Formats: sequence, C-alpha cells, structure tokens
Amino acid sequence: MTRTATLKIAVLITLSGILLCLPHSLRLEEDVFFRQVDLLPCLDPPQNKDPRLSSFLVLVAETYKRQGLEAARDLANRRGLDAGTAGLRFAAEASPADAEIGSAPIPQADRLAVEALKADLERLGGRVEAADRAWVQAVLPYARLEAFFSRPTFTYLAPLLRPRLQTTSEGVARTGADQWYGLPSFHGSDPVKICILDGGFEGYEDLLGSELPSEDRVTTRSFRYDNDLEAGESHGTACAEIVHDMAPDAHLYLVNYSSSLEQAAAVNWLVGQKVEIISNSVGWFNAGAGDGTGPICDDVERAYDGGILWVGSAGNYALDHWQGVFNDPDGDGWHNFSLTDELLEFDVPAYDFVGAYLNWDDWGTWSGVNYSGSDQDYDLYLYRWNGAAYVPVASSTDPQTGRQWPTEAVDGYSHPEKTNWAVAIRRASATRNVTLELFLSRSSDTPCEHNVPEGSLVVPCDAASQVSVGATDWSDDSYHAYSSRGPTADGRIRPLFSAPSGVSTRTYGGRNFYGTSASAPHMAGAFGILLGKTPFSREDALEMLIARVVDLGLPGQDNQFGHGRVDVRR
Amino acid sequence: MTKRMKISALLASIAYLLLSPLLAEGQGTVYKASLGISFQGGIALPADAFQDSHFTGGANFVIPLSSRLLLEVGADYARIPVRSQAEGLSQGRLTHIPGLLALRLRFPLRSLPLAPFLVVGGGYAYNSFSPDKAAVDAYRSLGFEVDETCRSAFTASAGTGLEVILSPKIVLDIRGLFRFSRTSSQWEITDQVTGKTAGGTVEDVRLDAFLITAGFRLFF
Repeated sequence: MTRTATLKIAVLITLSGILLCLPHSLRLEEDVFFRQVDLLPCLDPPQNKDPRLSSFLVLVAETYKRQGLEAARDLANRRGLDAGTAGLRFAAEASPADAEIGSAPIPQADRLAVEALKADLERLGGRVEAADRAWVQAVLPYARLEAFFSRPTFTYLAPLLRPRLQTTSEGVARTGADQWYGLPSFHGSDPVKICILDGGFEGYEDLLGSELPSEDRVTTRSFRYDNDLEAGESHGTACAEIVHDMAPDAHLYLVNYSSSLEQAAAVNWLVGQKVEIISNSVGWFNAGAGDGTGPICDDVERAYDGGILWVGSAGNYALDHWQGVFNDPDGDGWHNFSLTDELLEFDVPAYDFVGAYLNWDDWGTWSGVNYSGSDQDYDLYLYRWNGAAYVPVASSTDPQTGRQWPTEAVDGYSHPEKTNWAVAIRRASATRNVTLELFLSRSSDTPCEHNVPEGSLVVPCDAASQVSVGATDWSDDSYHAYSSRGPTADGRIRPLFSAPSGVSTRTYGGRNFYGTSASAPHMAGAFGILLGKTPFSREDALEMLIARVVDLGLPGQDNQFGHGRVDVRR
Repeated sequence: MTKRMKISALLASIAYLLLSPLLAEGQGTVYKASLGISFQGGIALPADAFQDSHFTGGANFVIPLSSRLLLEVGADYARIPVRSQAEGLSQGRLTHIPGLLALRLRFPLRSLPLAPFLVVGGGYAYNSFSPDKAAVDAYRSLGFEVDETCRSAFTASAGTGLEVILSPKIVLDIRGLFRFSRTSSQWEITDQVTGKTAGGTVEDVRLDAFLITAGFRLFF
C-alpha cells in the first residue's frame, strides 16, 4: 500500500472514529475518557534468567524447542553460527569449578577448566574446535543446548565474534572517489545502473552485502549458452568489487557471456534495462580492423545509441604485440622481423597456454554485417624450442581469396616446462606487402622479441564511443608496462584515460588485481559517481572527467595515459 | 469498500451529526467572548515518502461568529526534511509557512465539556528550500555549485478534532488535519572546472501531509 493511501485511510479512520463514537459518548454520564485500551501483543522473549547465557543462544534453544531444527538453524545462520548437522557453534568461557582448580596457577586452572568443559561438551555430543586460554569455540547439537545451559563447567556462553572482512580498492582513495561517499544525489540518476559485462562471476553471492551491494541492488543475467553466471571465472566478481568500491550507491548488473553473438544479445537486453554504464574488462583479437568497425565495435555503438556508456580496458598486450609491414628481403616468402630474423620469439611459463593472433590491413569495407574481405593471403606458424631447435607446433593457413577476414590464429598450446616459443609469418598469395599486426596470448612479464608496444589496443578500444582505459599503479601513478597503447589503426589517440591497477580485492585475496581489467571498473565507477550524483549527461561527465585528470606522461592526451589518470575531485 | 461507499459513509456521518438533536448546546458551549488566540503544535506525516515527519506549529486569531461557527486567521510553520530523489527535490529542508483563513464548525456536547469540530481552510504558503548545507559544502569542495529554490503556492487543509473545554476561557484543542499543497522547485548545478551548467524544474512537489496537533485556545 502506498504511503498516500495509508494517510488517506488514516484520515478517514480518524474522522469516522470521532463521528461514530459520538452517539455513544453522548449517552454516558460517567467518565469515559480513561477506558482501558488493549495494547498490541508483545513478542514473547525467551526467559533468560541465567546471567551466564547470551540471550541469543537462549533464543536459538527456545526456537529449537518450539519450532524445530530448521527454524533454529535458520536463526543461527543469520549470525553465521550454524554448524550444519553438527549443531550450533558458539564460544564458551570455561569455569574453574572446584577448589582444586581454583587454587591452581592461572594457566593450569584454565587448562583444567577447559578440559572439564571439553569433556562435558563431548558427553553431550559436542566438540571443541579451538581454544585460547579459558575460552573455547564449541559446536553442540541443537537438541542438547538446553541440557548444556545448566552445566557448571562454563562461566559464560556467547555467540562467536566474527570478523567482517572488507577489501577496498586502493584506487578509491587515489581517484578521490571516497570524497563522494555518502553525498546525496543532486538530481542525478541515483542509483545509477552499472553493468559489469564479463566472462563469469564466481563467488559473487558470498560478497553480496559486503564487497558487493546487497541483493536488492544487484541484478544478474547470463547470456552464455549454458546460463552459467559463475562459469568458473571470478574475473567479473573482482571487477564488480571495484565498481562497488568506487560507486557504492550504484545498482549493479552482473552479466556474462562467452561469444560475440551472446554479447550482442546482452547489449540488447541491457539497453532495455536502461543501464547507463557498462564496465567491460574484456578485449578481442582479430575482431575488427582497428578503425572502429566490426561486430564488437558495433555492439559498443549500439549500446551508446541506447543510452549506455561503454567503458573498456585497453588491454594488457603492450609487451605481447608486434606490427609492421611484411618484409621479405631474401625472397623466401617468410617475413623478416629484422634483417636476418624470421622468427619472433617469446618465453612462456610452464603449463601456460600460448596463442598467437595475426591480422593485416586488408579487411575491406564494413557493411554493418560483415567485411567485404581480403584477397591477400598470409599464414601464421607457431614453433616451440625443444632444446636444440624450433620445431613446428601449429599453423593457421586459412585461405584469403576475397571474402575472408584477414586473420589467422593459433591458440591453446602449452608445455610442461618454461620454454621459448616463436611465430613466423608466411606470404601464401598476395599482391602487396600488407601491414601485419600480431598479438600473443601468454603470461609473462618479459616483452616478446621485436616488441612494438604502439598500437597494442584490443578491440573494441577503437570504437568511437568507447571509453578505453589504460593501467597505472595505484601507489605512484607509474605506467604499467603491459598496458596496451594507442594509436588506433586509423590514427586516433587511445586510451582515453588511465586508472589505478594492482589493487586489493576480496576475490583475488593476497594477489593484487593487476591489469587494465582493474582499471576499467575504476573508470566506470567514476562515471557512475558523476551520473548518479549529478544531473549531467554522459557527454558532460566525460568532459568533466577529462578536465579533472591528473595529467601523466606527455602533456595533454597521449597514447599511454590518455588524458591522464582519472580523478573525481576538483 | 469502494471509494463511493467510503464517501457515502462519510457524508452520512456528517449529516447525522449536523442533524442530531443530541447536539443542543450544553457544557460544550463557550465563546462568550469576542476574540481568542490559539497556539498549537504537533507532528506532520508527509504523504511523500521522501519527506520525513516533522514538527508543525502555528498561531491563530479566533473570531467566534456563533457558538458553533468560528473564523480563524493565522499562520503555521513547518520545516520539512527532504531526502533526495531522482525526480524530486534534492536533499535539504523545505520551509512551509502558510497564511490560513479557516472556518471551524463546532458540535458542542450537551452534557460534557467537549466539542468535536470540523475545520476547513485555505490560504497561501510561503515556501523556501535550502539544500543540505553539508552537501552543498561537499559539492563545492568537489568543484560544483548547487542551488535549489522553491515557489510559494496555495494551500488548503481540512480535518476534524476535539475541543476539551477546561474553563470558559481556556480550551485544549486536539485535531487531525490533512494539508493539501503543491509547489515546484528550480535547481541548478554548475561545474566550476568546466563551466558546464545544468538546471531544471521539478513540477508538482507534493507537500501534502497528515497533521496531528494539540494546543490551547485562550479567549478574552
């Protein structure tokens, strides 16, 4: 019932009450002003006369007695005290029950008292899980709680103290987002809707209400073929944590997918949900010409047209990128990365998967559905060092005869030892020397041979409407060398911004969250602050954030830091 | 119960009261004097969920036209705490000071010093809005100037209550009223860093509230 309706009814009842009571009042000669009024029934609290008992534990025991096991477990679970079928978990202070124990030195008295308490608990089917001096952490079946309450072996029973783990990204303070905490919205769209569009959200349910918003401010949807929102991947959960740290008043949409077609469906749905910001720490290889065209960039533009600002990570491939014009001075058909070197080598840790993605500037025209295609045919070869020589591992030799995309890819190979790998590029059938671009997928901090960091942005950083974000260290604003750099294939400066990385999250625990994947949610959160707290449009918000950056690197916008590191202060 | 049935029941009750022979003048009759003043205070429960309950109070000149009909001229005061909402006011306090002309129809009881009454009134309310000062300061520190104002507007109220006649010149007055009032606000925010400004008008800001007040009426 609405508040208005309630008030109307209150008025009606008041008016009617006075009017209807009048006739009765008029007939009475005696004092009728102090009639007994029936009070509302009170909740009947459990009788807790024993000062040794916490009222909550008594309530659990009473609930078990009156309403059964499930109700008692439900109650205990609200305080995190349910130990499943084993019973209720609680803390007990052991009691030095007799004179012999009482006269012993304190440590010994504690030990004896704990032993007596432990024996008492075990007699009743319970157990002690931990002990510190006179205190024990115990579990006892719900059915035996009441019997235990009367025992003399404890001085006090209480619910366990439980830590409330909280991890806040260091990027919050670095960007000044904390200065917006608690500030009421001034005609903004509070709560702003921010979607974390990612691969998976493993463990997100455990973080609701702490590292993530409460359940009523989180909407989830999987567009994967199997509808698995968690999908064995916690990357999205960590990103969502950062968005929540930055903009704690936002309503979060946790949405996952596993392919470009699923992404397109997700975008359509998010537009319908009137989501305002997408935080997308995902990149694509070989998914477009790098000039803002292609299916992934189209998703970004369609989202923008539907009212959604798309914030994306620049990529972590500055050290795993090479590009250059096909060059074959010896005429053997193989590209020369240098005058004499036809291999591009790189190291890969043991068991790590390695991939290589090649594309070149012969995409043709983007129709809105597909590229017209390439007739320049190049192939990609992958090799592994076996201790004596590079041996072929895989190749990608798709034909490019006029309709196909100018791409080749090999991926998913690994080796049980850390070793060197290499790629080579061969011209199969071409009429011109194209500009090649190569991305490597691996986990290593060392740059690949012949590394060209420039232009290492992943798709869709080239989308005209996307806000691309590079990585800086949260502690000192230093540039993270892996952070992909611009320009785009058509020469635009990107990324637009840089944002903190290497930050703390609950999801990744002791491992700090590095990469532009951590930076993009900081940026999305910054937009969320402005759109949620102020009435400005996303275009205005973009200008305001550009005006507020901490300019790093070259003065003005550059291909490493963009306009600078995001900051939401004056 | 349909809306029509509720209204019918209400009208029937009022008619019954007006026509009741039990309402002959009795102890509930006072107002021999020609003028009185009243002071009242109480709590207002706003209809808008983004407004919090607040103190309301006021004073009136009371001019008895007859033993049953009184004219009241006065002013009320309310300072309404407002929480921000996307389509409404920002966080702050709205000061609402209506000047009211009201008619009170009394139904003195025959044998008790009590007089139920109906009251209806209307007037013009001075309204002003002050955005939350802490928020204004915080926005300023972040580079934004914010401002919001509220227009004055017509207001009306109607309700019922009970007079407890303590002496011929002193009356305890308890009443429940529904206040009807609408206003609008104009807001503006300027980013000092870029110079960008945004502004707008919030139409139809509801100041409706259910008021429960008590006070004294003194007659001379």
